[in-house]
Amino acid sequence: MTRIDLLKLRKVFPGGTVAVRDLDLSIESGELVVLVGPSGCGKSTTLRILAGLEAPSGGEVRFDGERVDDWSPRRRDVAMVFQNYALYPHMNVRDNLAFPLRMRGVGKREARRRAEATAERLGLFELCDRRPRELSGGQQQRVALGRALIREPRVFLLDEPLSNLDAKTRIELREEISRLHRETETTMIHVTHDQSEAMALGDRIAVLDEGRLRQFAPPLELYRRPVDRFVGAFIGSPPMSFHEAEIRPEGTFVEGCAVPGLRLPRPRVLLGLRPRELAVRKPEACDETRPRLRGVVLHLEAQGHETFVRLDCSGHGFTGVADPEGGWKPGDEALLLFPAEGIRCFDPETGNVL
Amino acid sequence: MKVSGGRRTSFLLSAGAPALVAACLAGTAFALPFLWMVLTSLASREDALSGRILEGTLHPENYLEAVERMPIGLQARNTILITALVVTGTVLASSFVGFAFARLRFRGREFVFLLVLSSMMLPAQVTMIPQFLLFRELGWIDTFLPLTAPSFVAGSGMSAFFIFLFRQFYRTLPVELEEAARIDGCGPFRTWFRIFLPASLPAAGTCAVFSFVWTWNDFLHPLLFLQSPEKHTLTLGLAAFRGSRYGLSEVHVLMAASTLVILPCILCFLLGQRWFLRSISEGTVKG
Repeated sequence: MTRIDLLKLRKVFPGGTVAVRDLDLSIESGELVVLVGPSGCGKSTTLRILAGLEAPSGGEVRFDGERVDDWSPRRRDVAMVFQNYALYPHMNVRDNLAFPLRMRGVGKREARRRAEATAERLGLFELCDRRPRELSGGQQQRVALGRALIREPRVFLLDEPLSNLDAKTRIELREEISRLHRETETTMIHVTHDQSEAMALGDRIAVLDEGRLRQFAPPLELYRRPVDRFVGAFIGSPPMSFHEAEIRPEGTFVEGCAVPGLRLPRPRVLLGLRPRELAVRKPEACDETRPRLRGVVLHLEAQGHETFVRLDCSGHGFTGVADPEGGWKPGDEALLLFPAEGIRCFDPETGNVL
Repeated sequence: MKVSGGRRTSFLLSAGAPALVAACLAGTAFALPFLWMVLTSLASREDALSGRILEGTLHPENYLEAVERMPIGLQARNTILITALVVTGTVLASSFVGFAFARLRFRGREFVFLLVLSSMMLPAQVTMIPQFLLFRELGWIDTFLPLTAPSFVAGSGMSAFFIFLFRQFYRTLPVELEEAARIDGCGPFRTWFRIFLPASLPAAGTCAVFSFVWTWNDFLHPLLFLQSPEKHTLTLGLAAFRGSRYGLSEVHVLMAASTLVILPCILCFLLGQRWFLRSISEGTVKG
């Protein structure tokens, strides 16, 4: 149970690359925070600074209000899980689990007992005598989780732990991490580039880009109220698309097509549209009054419970969702219905939400 | 039948056959002196002198005679002691220094490494006299110290090669391994001793086999530093035996003694080859 504060954290690598720019972040005790962003956004560097593996170029790291910048990883009492597992190759699973305890002066017997208890907890008991290379990727990462968990650290750091695993194992381990977080109530910081993983795991998510914090909020708020174009585009799948809209004397236009009834907060904006919010209907069967565009079906993508439809509206592409039982085919005439309210508008110049 | 016949023809026509023949010839060239030695060691005195070593009956009693003529027990004890110390020292020190060159960041690292490597180019004869003078100053002449102590500080003539071997091996291990150890509470020394050294078994095996063979067979350095007969090693013993009045008239006994002396080397090589073949190929592919 440790509260973490990052104050004006900065990291410049030799050669001048700025990895982290004046990052301010406060993580509550017992919270699971996900750092997410495209590669090179500084999320791993931030985590490594927290771990004490990398020294910050400026700013402060505080654990429970105490400055820990110049503390060794050992003194900080953090545990870390790596993308490539980093298990000790010459030790079996039991010894890998017991190692952090042995390094902290726990007796051989006690360490062994706790290693076996941890193995049991993670469903690894039968594998205790195996070497890492005799395990699957998922099993190895479970061992790595156990090794981090076993000494009950103040802070639990996970650096893209699921990125090397196949899709099924990734979801299993995602649940495992959630469960361990609930059980241990330890402060956890998880780094990933996968927004769906971030949404699934985080109590709060910090979106980083080029070393800057763009937004720090719970998953749903990020999804519903992105503060800028970057967050809007990064969070949510399929991604948000952006379209220029303006008010002319003759009415509202989106990408040059008239959309009667669409209200804008300013004369010129950038609309951020999520495909799931745009309904595609057949013109003859539509009795709704929402703002709409007319187009032709270009391409269909069946997902099972819904079908994504790519429409061409006088030369501009839009994606919306349609009823999968609609019997759509390319070339059909269609209507794209905008939501009646709650469309996100961004400033075309700054990209900030309006 | 047809299929296997076809395969055989294609193998003979392929590049495999000439390579196989070349390998057999080279193997024979290496094995021949060795076979000669073993056959002579089992021949009678007359046959050994006249070179008719493939004829006549076997004389395993030559070995008993060799053991009686040479103080082989004492010399074996000396050799084993020296070799064991050198192998231990070389593996530990080379691994430690190799770890530093592979994983610790310090100013001038690459330059110092280059200096270490360039020491491989120096022939042993160049450093022989300065070494002798140095050890005489220390009062170490006629002790085992000049032969064993340098290996514990990676300062023996062969250390540069082993440092290079360990460095290449450690560079193939992921950085995260070191970081995981740091997080688990290890400093650089414990990271080396608890993680890197045990994880480098193939490199350590190679290092142990080579340093064993080189030390066991070393003649020059024991000759230089050891004077009292009771401190002599097996190679010195063999030389003394050859130089004695029986030396050339009793070739069969000399060969029996030689066979006994190199037997441990051959065993060590056969047991260790699995390791160093692996470490050498890993080093070249990844390093």
